[in-house]
Amino acid sequence: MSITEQESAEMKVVGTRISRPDGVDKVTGRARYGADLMLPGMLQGATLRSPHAHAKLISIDTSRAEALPGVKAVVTRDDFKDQPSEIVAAGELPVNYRDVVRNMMAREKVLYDGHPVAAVAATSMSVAKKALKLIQVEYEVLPHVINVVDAMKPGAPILDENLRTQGDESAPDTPTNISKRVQTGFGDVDAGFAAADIIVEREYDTEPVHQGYIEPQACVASYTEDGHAEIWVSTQGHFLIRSFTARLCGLDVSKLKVTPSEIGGGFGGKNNVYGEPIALALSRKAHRPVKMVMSRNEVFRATGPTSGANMKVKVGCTRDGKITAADAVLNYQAGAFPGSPVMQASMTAFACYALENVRVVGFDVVSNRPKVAAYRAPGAQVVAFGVESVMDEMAKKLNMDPVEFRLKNAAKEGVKASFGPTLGPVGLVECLEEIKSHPNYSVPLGPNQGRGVASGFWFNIGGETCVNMNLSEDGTVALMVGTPDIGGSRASMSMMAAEALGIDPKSVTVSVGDTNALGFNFLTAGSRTTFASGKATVEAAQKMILELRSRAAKIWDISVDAVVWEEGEARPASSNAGDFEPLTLAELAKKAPKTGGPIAGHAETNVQGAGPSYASQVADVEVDPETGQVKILRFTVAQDAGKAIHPSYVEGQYQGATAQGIGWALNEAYIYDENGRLENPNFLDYRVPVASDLPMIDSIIVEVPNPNHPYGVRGIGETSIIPVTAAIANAIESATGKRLLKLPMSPPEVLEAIEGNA
Amino acid sequence: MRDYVLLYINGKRHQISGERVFQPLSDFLRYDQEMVGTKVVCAEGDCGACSALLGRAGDGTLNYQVFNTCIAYVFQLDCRHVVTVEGLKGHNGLHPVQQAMIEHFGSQCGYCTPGFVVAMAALFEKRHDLTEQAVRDGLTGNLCRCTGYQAIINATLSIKPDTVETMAERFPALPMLDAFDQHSQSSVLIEYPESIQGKTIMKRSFIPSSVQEAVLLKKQHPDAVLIAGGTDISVQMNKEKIDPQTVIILPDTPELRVLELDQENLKIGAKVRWSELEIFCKDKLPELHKILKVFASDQIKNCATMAGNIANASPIADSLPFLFVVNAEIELTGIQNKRWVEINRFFHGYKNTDIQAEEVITQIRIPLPKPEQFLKLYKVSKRRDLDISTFTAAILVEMVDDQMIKDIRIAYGGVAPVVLRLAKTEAFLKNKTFDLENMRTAGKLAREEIAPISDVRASRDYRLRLSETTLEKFFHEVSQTE
Repeated sequence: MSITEQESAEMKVVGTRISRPDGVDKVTGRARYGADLMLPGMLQGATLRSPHAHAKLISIDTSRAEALPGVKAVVTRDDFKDQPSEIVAAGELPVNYRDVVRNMMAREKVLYDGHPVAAVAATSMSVAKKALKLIQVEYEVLPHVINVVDAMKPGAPILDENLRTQGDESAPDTPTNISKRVQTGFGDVDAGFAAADIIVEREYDTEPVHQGYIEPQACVASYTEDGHAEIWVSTQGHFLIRSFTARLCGLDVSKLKVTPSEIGGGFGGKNNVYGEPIALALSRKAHRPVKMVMSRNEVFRATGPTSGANMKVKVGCTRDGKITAADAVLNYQAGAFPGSPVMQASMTAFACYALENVRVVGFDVVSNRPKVAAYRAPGAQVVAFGVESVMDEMAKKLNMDPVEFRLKNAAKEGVKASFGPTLGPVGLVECLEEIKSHPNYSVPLGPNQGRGVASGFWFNIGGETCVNMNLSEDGTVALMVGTPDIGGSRASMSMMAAEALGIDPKSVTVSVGDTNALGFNFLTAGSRTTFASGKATVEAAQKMILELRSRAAKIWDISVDAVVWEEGEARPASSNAGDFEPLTLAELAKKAPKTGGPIAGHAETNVQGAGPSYASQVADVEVDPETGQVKILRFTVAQDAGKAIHPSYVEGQYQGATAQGIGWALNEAYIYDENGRLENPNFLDYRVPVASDLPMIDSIIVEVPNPNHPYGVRGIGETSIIPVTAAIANAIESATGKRLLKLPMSPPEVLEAIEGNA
Repeated sequence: MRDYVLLYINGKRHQISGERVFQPLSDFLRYDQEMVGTKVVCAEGDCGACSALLGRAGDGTLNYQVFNTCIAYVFQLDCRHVVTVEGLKGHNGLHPVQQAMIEHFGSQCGYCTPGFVVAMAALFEKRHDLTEQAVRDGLTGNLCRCTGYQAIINATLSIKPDTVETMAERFPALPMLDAFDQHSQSSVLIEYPESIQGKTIMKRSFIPSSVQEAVLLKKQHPDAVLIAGGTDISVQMNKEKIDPQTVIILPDTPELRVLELDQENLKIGAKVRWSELEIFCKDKLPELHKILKVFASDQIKNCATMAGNIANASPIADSLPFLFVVNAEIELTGIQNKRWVEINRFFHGYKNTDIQAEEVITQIRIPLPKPEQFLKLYKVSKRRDLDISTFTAAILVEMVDDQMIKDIRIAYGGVAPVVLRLAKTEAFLKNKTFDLENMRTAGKLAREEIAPISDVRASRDYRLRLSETTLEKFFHEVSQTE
């Protein structure tokens, strides 16, 4: 399926800015999220969590909690069967069932502050909280390790005695915290550096940051006596919640129905199970529905975050600005269990550049922190801080404009990407040209002000997708997709369906189906929803059009080939086909009972051909030399959307991703005390940007169509978070002459850089 | 003595008593009323997702302001009208802010949206025109993680203030005002027995109708927690750091609501809210106004008080360094008498003040800086707005002949268990020339006078640096002013 430029120009719905179908529900408070479902007899669940970073779990005595009036069920590790080691795909990061069951509820050991140890269900939240205090847990506290570099050192406290380094033949067969070594690249890096006139090599450190979705994890689970169960949950992937929860609770997958609620943000953080199996186990014991809602404290301590990292980046260049070699070593924190996005980091590290010699070695390292979850372009944003800072330094040494330097080395169609395959049509050069010619790039800078540039790359994905489209008896269309709508995808689905059918998008109602209503759908993740569910929607529409043509053919008693579908109605293909009045959707719907019954279209597919999305950004900052505070003056984003189905929502993604990057650059970080306890598990001490912290974020939509989507769509949700930290670091360098090698670039760090170690 | 809280929600009367009074309004709305449009996200007043409009009687009508329902316990809300997101919709359909949010794509995930539309509606209650900066400042109490705020700002700016139906127009005030009038004559005591592990504790919430009654109650219940705005106490209760058996709500008497300027003194009653003070001091004390603007969100400023800030005795309370350099006085009212304590003698140690068991803070008296005095206030935090401060400072200088320091007062917060006046640094500077060299030397002295610690907000080293650079910054700023 592809479209020509000509057809593209004729699109009537795609590219417009319609009101979203769920807009009214969201502004009136009527939209129902995870915590908003109330069922008769529903109990409140609460989780007891480890206060220790690392300890043996000697014993758990729940008897006093069980005796408290109002407590209806208590569960611990004993209520869940152990799982064998089995690695499965779970969203953007693979997971091991053995780890999933342990992360959900600690077994032999607790591995981080906040690790669940037991849970109760009671008639009210206040009773549940009192019950938690009555559970007696005996711990044997063990030495812990938080920092990634410390965790890699010989003699570091070991989290899992069975862990050995995979992918490293030279690694000794002794317990380690390094779970995996990965390597990507090609060419001869040493020869490349030998050919270089200038080499820049730097070491960087970043802290884990949390996705910071506004809605805490929440679910309601209900188990019936006949062995069936239902879960209502805020998630990016209810089919994965189903498979994981069924596995951990010992249910047949088909006996568990999972209904996705509205979702209050996820950014990758709601790809996993946390409280769902616990709520279901409690419900099974109590014979009543159980609601589990996390507090913000629990969200910070036990979900997300993304990896922090230590990394070394080295780039060599000729005097005329051609990169000869690029090399990096990445040490990524995985949290308490293996599975950081270090592979994605390795693959994306140098993806913005056309290279002949490139090598990235990555290590996946466990430590006593919560298990990391995906976060908007997982892995890529962390390594971009290092790589794009080095590129800026290189441009400076060459005395080249940073955009020119990037243009000279830019990845483009036909180039062998640093992660292997040859690139198809991509939009990096177009993005760089856009920011170069944008008026913001030439605004004069005042004292203490600076400007920084950076680029980013993200793969995007397709994946398993199943949609149903039904023609209702009045001629309107009900479309059901299996990917939760996290940022307006019901609007974009209705637009693509309407475009394909030639009708008004108001005639298409889109809903997100539960796990019984559709075949397996992969997550809303990897910027795949508008691309993959959109592609499946168009396919379903085309199947429905075929059926509509055949019904019209039946009514007219002519061959189906003699019927065309144009502007939302069946028409005779030509005067040769006969002289018939066109049949609209409504007319065909009305006649459907007599022409063969209900009319529908559906698509079940593993969508391939996701188009990567590049972005380039310019940050302007002002640094207060006396306090080290950084103010963002201007921010310009250019990103390739392939084709913007709904430009306002595309801009919203660019701005939102950038805002998260600004928080990451300047403020956000996990802070642990000496005992390995998280010191800032709340929005008071974990500071995310508010309205007055942010400038107007100018968004430029670049459109280099993806040939693998009927309307040219690329995923756009993630890339714009990637360049932000480096763009700001480069701007701070331009303002102060000082290069920051650590995130966040908070006032103390900036002041120290300015003043030196005075 | 009345045994219930009278609270109107979206125009509907509720008489609430017993255990249900001892919970945040957000829980009462969500669990008791199943009004789930109001969201709970942080439960400590940082994110605004639980925002609602609080209608209080004043000037013969009800005045509505945005507040956080997660840190307003029901026992604080006697004789109030609360409008939630469910109540915003008017006779003619959606409220203009709701319509604008749809048209400008202000929601992505939508979870923060109910809180935002309520906060946006509050901005239009006075029907003032708003600049972009005013909108950004006015919405700092609401977190959104999806949009980057631009679409929300655009939505707000698209609204014509004169087309907005205000809450006073939406909900007839008179019946509620009558009911509040009748009810506010009587004191309130709400009790309920809470049993845990075989013991029964009687929980009590008092709403006295006079200061005298409050003082007596405080004497009878020495462990009682006194609440003015409650924005800090509620956070501690939500986090289960405290579980007071008895709370006493400071009443809105005329004496406690006084806000006036007499000649040289600004008098601020203990129940004057920060937002009222912010408006009041805009022209009269611009330097304080500047700090109040970034001091907290509207949601907090519409409830919290200066008296609460002082009684809470946090070393990083934003108002304190200012009060220290102007030598503010605190009025403490006891059973028999009143006394005034100068603020520099009020704090004895970390969270330890001069307030006696049978006393409450009733007023703060602030001598205004004289025209010949320069005053500068500083607040350093990770984020510009409504952040807990890393470091606060107030410097007041009076010079002769434009260069000789006649008097200088320096107070730093966040550098010791209490806010400090830097006596040695002040003594060094007195009668010295006001120049960069002296201020730099003073900065080095200042470092030695303080004992900061490292915490989640900043390192000891950073605070030491700031204590030094702030004096330099002050010199540059005063020089520029001249």
